[in-house]
Amino acid sequence: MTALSCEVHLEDNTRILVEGTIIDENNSPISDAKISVLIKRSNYSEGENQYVIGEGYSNAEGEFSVTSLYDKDEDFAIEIHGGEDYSTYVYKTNTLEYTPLDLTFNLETVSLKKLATFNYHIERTSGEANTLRYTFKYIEGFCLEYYEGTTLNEFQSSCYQEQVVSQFLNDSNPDIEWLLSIPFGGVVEFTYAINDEPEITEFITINEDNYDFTFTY
Amino acid sequence: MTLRSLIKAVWLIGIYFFCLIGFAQETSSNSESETNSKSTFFDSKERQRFFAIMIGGHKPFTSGDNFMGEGLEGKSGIDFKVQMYIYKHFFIGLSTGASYFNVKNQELLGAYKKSRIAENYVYIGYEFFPTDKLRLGLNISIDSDLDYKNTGFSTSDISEQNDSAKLNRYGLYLNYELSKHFMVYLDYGYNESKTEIVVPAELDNFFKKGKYSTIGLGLVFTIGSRDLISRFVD
Repeated sequence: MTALSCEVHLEDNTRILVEGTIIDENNSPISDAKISVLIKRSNYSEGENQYVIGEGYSNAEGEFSVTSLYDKDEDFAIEIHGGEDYSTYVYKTNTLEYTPLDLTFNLETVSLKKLATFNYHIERTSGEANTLRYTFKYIEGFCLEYYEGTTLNEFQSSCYQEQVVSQFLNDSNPDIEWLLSIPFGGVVEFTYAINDEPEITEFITINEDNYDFTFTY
Repeated sequence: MTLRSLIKAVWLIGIYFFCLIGFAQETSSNSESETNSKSTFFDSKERQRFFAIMIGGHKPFTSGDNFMGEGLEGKSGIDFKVQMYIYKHFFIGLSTGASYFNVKNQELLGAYKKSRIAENYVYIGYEFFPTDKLRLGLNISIDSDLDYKNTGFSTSDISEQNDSAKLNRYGLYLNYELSKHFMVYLDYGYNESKTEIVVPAELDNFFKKGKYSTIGLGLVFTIGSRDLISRFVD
């Protein structure tokens, strides 16, 4: 019988330095952003089964300098999480093939977008048997840049990409209430069709930190 | 052969050696002490010993602008030493022990919570006799092997990460004699850990050396009443 082990062995006698500056869209520094050095990070906005090997925070000037352990891993990542108010940025590379000169990952200037919360509430007031098919298209507050060495690979990157949420509401599920994190100032495209009639599209500009959207059918 | 395995081998030989010679010597030592009662700060024939075995614990204290002073906080430690008196009160010793630390600043070291240093070193020194009951020893390490085992990761899939180093240690101890072959000790050691950690040039000075002191307490058992050379010369 063979025992399967997922044990990770980090590089002995090695430390790396991760440094850079975090700003918002107005070039103002973002303090207390969390910087995590990760291995085995997936490409999704919410990483799964990832391991933290270094961690730190940006200072009042938005600068950070984090010393971390190191591992040669095809899913090596540095994640910058600006908290609830800002988008998340991920630098990703394959350290099996690339280790930077002088063991320093200098991300230079990373710009995060301010986020707003889009709370939507859809309620059926027209009575039973009426249906609604709807779609929200929006830009998600997440940017992953994949680098091969020092070159950005746009094909493997996914930076502020369009996301789509669709649902069909009927008797078994007539109402919905949910929230999305969207870059402040962004536009949400709301397309709907009541009782399979022709689609109607509305554009909603997110100009409040907490944008409440209510729709009845 | 690593220093650790060398120490183990020398220990076994040493234990055999002092059991064989040390106890045999006891029977003739009484007559010696009766005839040699002169004792000074530097020498005391009647307080001459062949082997000393020390068992104790210590508290480490990190210091300085380096990865240990800024990143680690001392918790506890254990010591086990054997020293053999080569000529009069000049001795050579082997020490094996460990010091335990908590990581107080992960941003400076990496995302782990604990560090244990396994300390193995060879030392030399000299013992002085300030009073009838006290012995003052000074010692310095001459070869060493330090292994940092870093643990306490956010996942159990990473069990440990290791760093290695050499030790420069300067120590002193005070032994209080409770009986001829039994003492208690209080010791102080200044330790400079010269690491082999590879880092960016910007961090080189920070990781090149780690500094910590230890204050320890423990028990001393001695065997024999003559130094090694005297056994062959006299």
